[in-house]
Order: sequence, then C-alpha cells, then structure tokens
Amino acid sequence: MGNKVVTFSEEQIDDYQDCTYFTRKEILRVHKRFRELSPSTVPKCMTGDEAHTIKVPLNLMETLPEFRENPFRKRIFSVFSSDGTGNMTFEDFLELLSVLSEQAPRDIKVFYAFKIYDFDGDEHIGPADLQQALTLLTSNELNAEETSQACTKVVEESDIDGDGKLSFIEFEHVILRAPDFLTTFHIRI
Amino acid sequence: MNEERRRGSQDASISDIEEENETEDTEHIPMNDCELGLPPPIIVTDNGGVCSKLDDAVPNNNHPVARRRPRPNHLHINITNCTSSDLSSHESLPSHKVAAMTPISLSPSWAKPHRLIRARKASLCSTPGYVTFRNPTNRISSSTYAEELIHAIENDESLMADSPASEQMRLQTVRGMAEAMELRRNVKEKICYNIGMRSQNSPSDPTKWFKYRLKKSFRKVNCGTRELLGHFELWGSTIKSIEGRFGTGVATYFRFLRSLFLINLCVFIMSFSFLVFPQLLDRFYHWNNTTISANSSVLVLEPKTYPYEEINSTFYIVDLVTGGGWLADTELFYGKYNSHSVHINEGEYYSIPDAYFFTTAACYLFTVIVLSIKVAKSYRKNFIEMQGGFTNVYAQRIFCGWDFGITNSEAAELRKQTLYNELRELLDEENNAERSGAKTLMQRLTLMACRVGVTILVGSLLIGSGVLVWFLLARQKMLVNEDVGTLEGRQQASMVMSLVVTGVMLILPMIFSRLCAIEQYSNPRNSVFITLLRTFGLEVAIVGVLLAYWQKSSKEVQVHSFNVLLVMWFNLNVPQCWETSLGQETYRLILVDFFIALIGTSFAEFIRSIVYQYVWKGIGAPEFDIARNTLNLIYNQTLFWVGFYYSPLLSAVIVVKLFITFYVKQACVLHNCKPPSRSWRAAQIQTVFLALTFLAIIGVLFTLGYTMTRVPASKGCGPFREIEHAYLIIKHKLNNIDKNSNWYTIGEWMFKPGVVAGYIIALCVGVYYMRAVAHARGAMVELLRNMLVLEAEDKIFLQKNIREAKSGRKYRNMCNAGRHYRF
Repeated sequence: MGNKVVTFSEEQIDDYQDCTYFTRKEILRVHKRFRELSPSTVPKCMTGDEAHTIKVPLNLMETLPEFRENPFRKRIFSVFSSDGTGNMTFEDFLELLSVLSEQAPRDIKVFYAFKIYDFDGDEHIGPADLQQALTLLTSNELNAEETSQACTKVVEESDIDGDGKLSFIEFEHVILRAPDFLTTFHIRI
Repeated sequence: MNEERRRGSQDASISDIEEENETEDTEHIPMNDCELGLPPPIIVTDNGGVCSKLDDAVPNNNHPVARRRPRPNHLHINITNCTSSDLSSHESLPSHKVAAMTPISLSPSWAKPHRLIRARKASLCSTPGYVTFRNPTNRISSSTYAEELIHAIENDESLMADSPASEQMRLQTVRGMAEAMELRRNVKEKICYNIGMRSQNSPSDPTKWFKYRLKKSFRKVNCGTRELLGHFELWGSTIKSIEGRFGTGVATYFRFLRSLFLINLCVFIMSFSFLVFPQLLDRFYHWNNTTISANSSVLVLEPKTYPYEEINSTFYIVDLVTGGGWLADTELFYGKYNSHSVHINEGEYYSIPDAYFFTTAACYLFTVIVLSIKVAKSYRKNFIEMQGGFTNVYAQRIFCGWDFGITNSEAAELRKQTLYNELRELLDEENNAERSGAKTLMQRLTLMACRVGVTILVGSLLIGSGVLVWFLLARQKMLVNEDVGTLEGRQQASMVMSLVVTGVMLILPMIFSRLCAIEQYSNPRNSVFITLLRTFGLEVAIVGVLLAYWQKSSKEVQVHSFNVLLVMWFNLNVPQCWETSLGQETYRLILVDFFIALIGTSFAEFIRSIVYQYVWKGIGAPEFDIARNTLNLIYNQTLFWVGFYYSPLLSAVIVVKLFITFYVKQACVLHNCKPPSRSWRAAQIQTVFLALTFLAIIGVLFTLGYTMTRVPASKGCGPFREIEHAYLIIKHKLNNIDKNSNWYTIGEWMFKPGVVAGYIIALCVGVYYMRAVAHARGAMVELLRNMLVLEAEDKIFLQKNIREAKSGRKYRNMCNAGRHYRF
C-alpha cells in the first residue's frame, strides 16, 4: 500500500515504533482504522504535523466496534486524548491502542487502568468512582443499597492505609493479584 | 485487638511523638497528600534501588526495611509529584519537621516494601522495570518536564551507555513512560541526539561498534519475522471474533484446540517424513545404481517390477471405520512396517526399525517438552505471579470484570448481566453467612452427606464403566475367536466396544454436571472444577482399562505364541499382531468419537437451536460447555498418544480430525450456542487444562515404557519382530559402537553409577536450594506485607491523635494530669 502514497515518513514510523509497542504493519493498520472513522478529515498522507493536530471527535471515536460496547469508552477516550475532551488525534489513538495491546507490560496498563477508573481525577479511587464504575458495568441494575454495599466491600478489602479510598499503589496491589487483568485489559486491532 | 497490636509494636515511636507534642504542641500533620497517596515518585530501578525526593529527605531512616534496602547507586530521578505548593498547604509544618517525622510517617517506607517487591520482580524477569508517571498536574510546562526527564535519564550511566543492552533499556524506558506521545518523541530524539554526540566525542572500540550494529540489524530481522509470523497466526481472527462474542472462556477452548493441533501437526510431519515416507518408498520402489558413463553412476528410484507383497483383502468402505480388513494391512498400523533396513547404496542403509523407534521416541519427547514448557509458563503466569489467594473478590470484579475484547452487543449485555449476578451472589453470600450461623449444623450435615453420596455414586459409576469396558473387550475377543470366518461378525464385534466407550464418554460427563447441581457448591467455580476432575477420572478409568486389557492379552498371546503361530499358519493369513489390533482399537475409538461426539452433538445442538429459534423458546438455546468439550479434546489426545506408537499414521488422522473439529465447533458456537452464562476464570482454567493434558501424556508414557521393556513384541509382524523387546534396539546400537573411541569412554564414564548418583545429588541439592530460596522470599514478602499493614494502622492512629491534639482538650488534659497516656 505504501508504494504510491506514503502515509508516514520513515522517521515517523521509526519514532512510532520506538515509542509504542507496535510494529510497522500494526501502525499502518491503526492508521487505516483511524482514517476509516472520518475519511473526509483524516488524510492518507500524514507526513506533516497532521498526526497530532487533526482530531476525530468523540462521537465518531465511539463508533469503533472495539469500543462500541465498552461501558468505559467515554472515559478511556478522555484519558487518552491530549486535551482531555475525548477528541482524539492519531497519536492519541496510537498510544491508546499501544497501551491496550498484548505487548504492553503490566505496569503501564495498570497505570492507565487507574486513570480510567479514577473518574473524578483526584488521584484516588474513592467510593464515588467505584459507584460510577459499578453503574456503568451493570447498566445500573444493582439497587442503591447493593451498590454502596459493594463499594464498601471493595474499599474494605483493598484499602490498606484506611483512608477510605484506593491510592494508585493499593490499586496496583489489587491488580497484581488478578490473573485475568492482562487478558481482559487488552484490545486486539 | 488492633489497638493492642499497635501498642505492642509501636511503643517507641508513640512515646517519641508524645514528647514532641508535649514540648511543641504544634499542629502536626505528618503526611502531606503526595506522601500518602500519589503515585510513587518516579522510578523503580532494576536493581531494587528506589529514589525519590522524600527518601532523600530522610537522613536517619532507621526503619528495618529502609536499612535493608540497597541505596540507589544510580538513577536519580528527582521529579516527584510533590512541589512546594503541596507542602505549602501545611505551612505550619517546618520542613525539618518533616524529616524528623518521616521515620514514623507512612509514606516513604510505606511505599518501599512494595516498590522493593516490584523492583525484585522486574529484575527477576530481566526486563528493567522503569516506570514514570504522567505529570499529574500542569504546574510544570511540558517542555520543562521533558527537560527534566531527559536530564534524569541522562544522569543514569546504565541508560546512556553506548551498548545494545542500554539501548534496549532506553527503548523500554521511553515506551514505558506514561506520557503523551509527543513528549516521548521529544525525549527520545533528544537522548538519541545526545548519545550520538557522545559516541562521536569518544570513538568506541570498532569491534564493539560492529557488534552493536550486528545486534541491531539482528533485532530488526527478528522484529520482521515476528511481524510475519503474526500475520500467519493460525485462526487468529476467528479466535478473536469468538473471544469478542463469547468472552475469554470459550476462546480458551479454541486456543487449546489450536495448540494441540499445532503439536500434532509437528508430530505428523516428523513421523511422516522419517518413518512413513521411507517405508512407503521401500514398498513401491527400490534404489537402482544406474551407470551413466564409464566412471559415474547415479542412484535412481525405480518402481519395483515384481508384484508388491500381496494385499490379501479387498478394500471396503467400512474398513475406513473399523480400521480392519484392507486398512489393517497398510502403513497405518505397526504390523506393516519392515524389520529390515532399506538398502540404498554400498554401505548406506536406512534401518526401518531404528527409524520407527527413534522417530516415535522423538515425537513423544517433543510433545512432552512442548507441553511441559507450556504448563510451566502458564502456571507461573497464572498462579505463582499472582501469589495465590483471591482475597480481593469485589475489587477484581469491578476492575477486571470487563473484558475489553468484547465487540458484540449481545456479549456485552451478557457480561453486564454476569457481573451483576456475580456481585449479587457475592453480596447475598455475605449476608447469608452473617445470618446463617446457627442453622447450618443440620444443613451442613445433610449437605455433607449429599456430597459424600454423590461422590460415592460417581466413584461407582467410574468403576462400573471400567468394568463394562473390560467386559466388552472380553466379549469382543470371544466373538472374534468364534466368528473367525465371518467378516461381518468380526466387524460388528469390534464396533460395539468403541460405540459403547464413546457413548459412556459422552453421557457420563453430562450426568456428572447434573449431579454437581445437587451438591450445591457455593461457588460455581468449585462445581466446575469438581466436574472437570470427575470427567478426567472417567477418562483415566476407561483408557486405563483399555491399556490394562491390551497388556494382558498381549501377554497371553505371547504365552501361547506357539498356538498362535499354528493358528497363523493354518487358519489365518493375517498374522496375529497385538500391536496392530491395539492400533486398530484406538483408531476406531478416535473415529467413532469423531462421528458421535463431534458430528452428533453438533447436529443435536443445531436442531436444538432451530427449535429454540422457531418453535419453542422454552427449550433454551444450547450453551457451549467448555469443560466437557475440552475434556473431550484431552480424551482424544490421550487416545492418540496411546495409539501413536502402534500406528504412526494416526497422527494424520488426528490432525485432520482436529482441523475439522475446529471448523465444526466454530460454526456451532457462532451459530447455535449462546454465550455461557457462567463467567469463567479463563486464565486459570487454561493452566488446569494443560496440566491435565500433561498428566495424561505422562501416564501414557509410563505405560508405553512398561510395554516396550516388559511385553515382548509380536514375533510375526512389525519392525521389532526380530528382537524380544523394542527397547533392545538401543542396546544393539550401543553394542555396535566402537569400544575404543573417545566418545565411548566419555559416555561410559558419564553413566557410571557413581557419576549418575552425583547427578541426582546435584539435582536434589539444586531443588532444595531453590525451595529454600523460594521459602525465604515468601517469608520476606509476608514480613513486608505485615509491616505494610502495621504502618498503615500507625498512620490512621497518628492521624487520629493529631486530629485530637489539634482540637482536643482531652489530650492536653491527659498530659497535664502527668499520667502516661495509653492510647
């Protein structure tokens, strides 16, 4: 495909390869997927600064089949978008998929998972964050009492320093002991 | 009781605090925000060194952990999340106070054990665990931040060295930074540039440079091949789509199927190229030394002109199913293989018995090695690295409950439903446990009785099926002996047994899973494991009985070998060959299983889903039973391993079968089944499957080893007809070795009893050492963990006191009263 129109310069590709966990082919595939979202605004050739200036709005990003069903999609996009609005540039998107790829190590995944679950951005996962996550996860089917009970349980069993919320280290501690995390926090593209 | 623990362990620190508070009586808040909760300052190094501003602010850190911790000898990255503005929120706290208080404050030492563990882990995995964290606030502009990062990295010698290893580490660091892409690119460019400058300034050793280049290009090639291989990943997209719609549990089955398929494919390729192909060549062709000119001659393959060895039966379609008749007389089975060497040229031979023995041995060895690696890896990943214990049940449901791979709305809905159910169940369980303290005794007794009863029932079912198989085998033999003349009678008799065995293997697991429902296991996972174990027990029972029976009859054959010979000469043209009949038996079992368990059940599921869709909803859509299906795979694989030695071409059969299975099951899952309603701990179940498979092959190998060394090989057929036992072939080989060669001497020395004992002792010592180390590490982890908990308790305790001290008369009153204050 690259014979006629060069999507990225060699240097760009090298940079992306060095900065993400993707191979050249995967980077091009990510670009293809990105372009499919909004063919009118995303050019085929991105050798200039298009990669970090052209944004695809959140509502288009949400139509990606990989994210369509994900209850956290809004939060994910807003965490990864450089301006925090959820409108993604190509580089944001690449980074998002790189973190969620199979090759990414656990540390980085845990870090972003923490970010995602920390809805109010106070560097702690408090009961409010947990409640929000639960609501999204179960389509609001648990009643208020059950939700708050579950949240209390989470804090009870994972909060080591007893401040009633989970800090990053506590969160990481939970995740380190969860065998499923790596298999579930993972998107194939 | 927490009070007491706290009191006991921390008396010293408490009294320190008291004094301080008494004298100064200021409003102390020993920990600021960033100390408490924000991500650990910046970097975990691979040698266990951790550095942060806070650490450096602790001159006399007399905490045991801190003392044990190696001081960082490199990598000082001082970008912490604490800026002065953080501290300024507690203006009343002079900075030297922070230092004085830190030994008993929570933060640095609190984070240390954890970081220590992680750093250890990173160094164990030999990948450096560099982690940075995205600048939490925008107090520093991104360019300054980048500068700081670059500076930090440049200060680290191990990162800036001009060697491939450090380049790898640099890459890891850049990739692992949780920063925006642009920033990372900046950092990377800068560092590369600086490295370039450095290496220009100090021209390094040309050989080193060359090596570096070589390694770099090698890595590039490596990357390329990985990319290429990823492209050819077998059934990758199919499995992905299944994973998307049905979650990781069902995908585990398909992954397992794929790995078995690949292993068997390798076995097939090996056995075909080294064993079957030469044998076929020998059967139809012979080597001829054709003279081209006066002094050169070429080896040419020529068809054998004389009629091939007579094939004494005509081919019937039904033979394909029974494995008898015409098929029994082909390379499919042991009996047909030559016991002589193929003569190729002057002094060049290809010995079929050697090929037979060593090829099959290599195939088994290959399978064992691949499987053990897989089991070990999977075990380490899912059990050891997770440190066992699943105490964070709720947190795991919430944080790991969502499978990000799901792309299908139905599956998503289902996953939500599952999570909801699981949480409800957990909460209910919790509430029930609180409620049902007293009532349980009677109920527990009945439940226990019920479980014991079911277990006994299952046990007797297992024994019963074993006896049934034994009985059928005996009957079959009788029939064969009686109806020696009629072909049909023999075929029927031989089919009955495989049909019944397959039927048992199909029906009993279903009964087992029904029975499990009666037992009311509180956790669905337990019931699945129990069913798994029982079904595996069934498989072991049946295959075990088959093997035992064959062993017994093969011995009988040998005892009466003279009779057999007579029978052979006078009544039957086909030589009595127990190996071949064993091969046929497994062949039949595998084939019948294919028709019944695969095609049959799939068809039944298809009908059911049709009925569900168009006729009657009450029947419910079929569900994909992972346990049953996977155990069916294991059963098949065990049969194959049993049969492979007696029928090398069985590998082709199993490869084809698994190939078809994949597509049938895929169609079945995608079109007929609804996703499983029970959520599976996919990561762990995979290990269990692999472990069961591994157990199966070990069992099979033991039996085969016994057979090869103890049960005499048939005298009338097969590659080993000229020797007593198959394993003697090694002995013959050893005897042929030149006794005077150096290799022989070395080999002889290596296998001297004393030396062998040395190996064993070394092995034992090694294992013991490893175990001791593991234990020590476990104890260490436990210690650190307890410390963590204690310190956390301290923190709360101190915070409470400070709060009281801040507002409270109580504290002052107590102090004024001059009594020793007990908390």
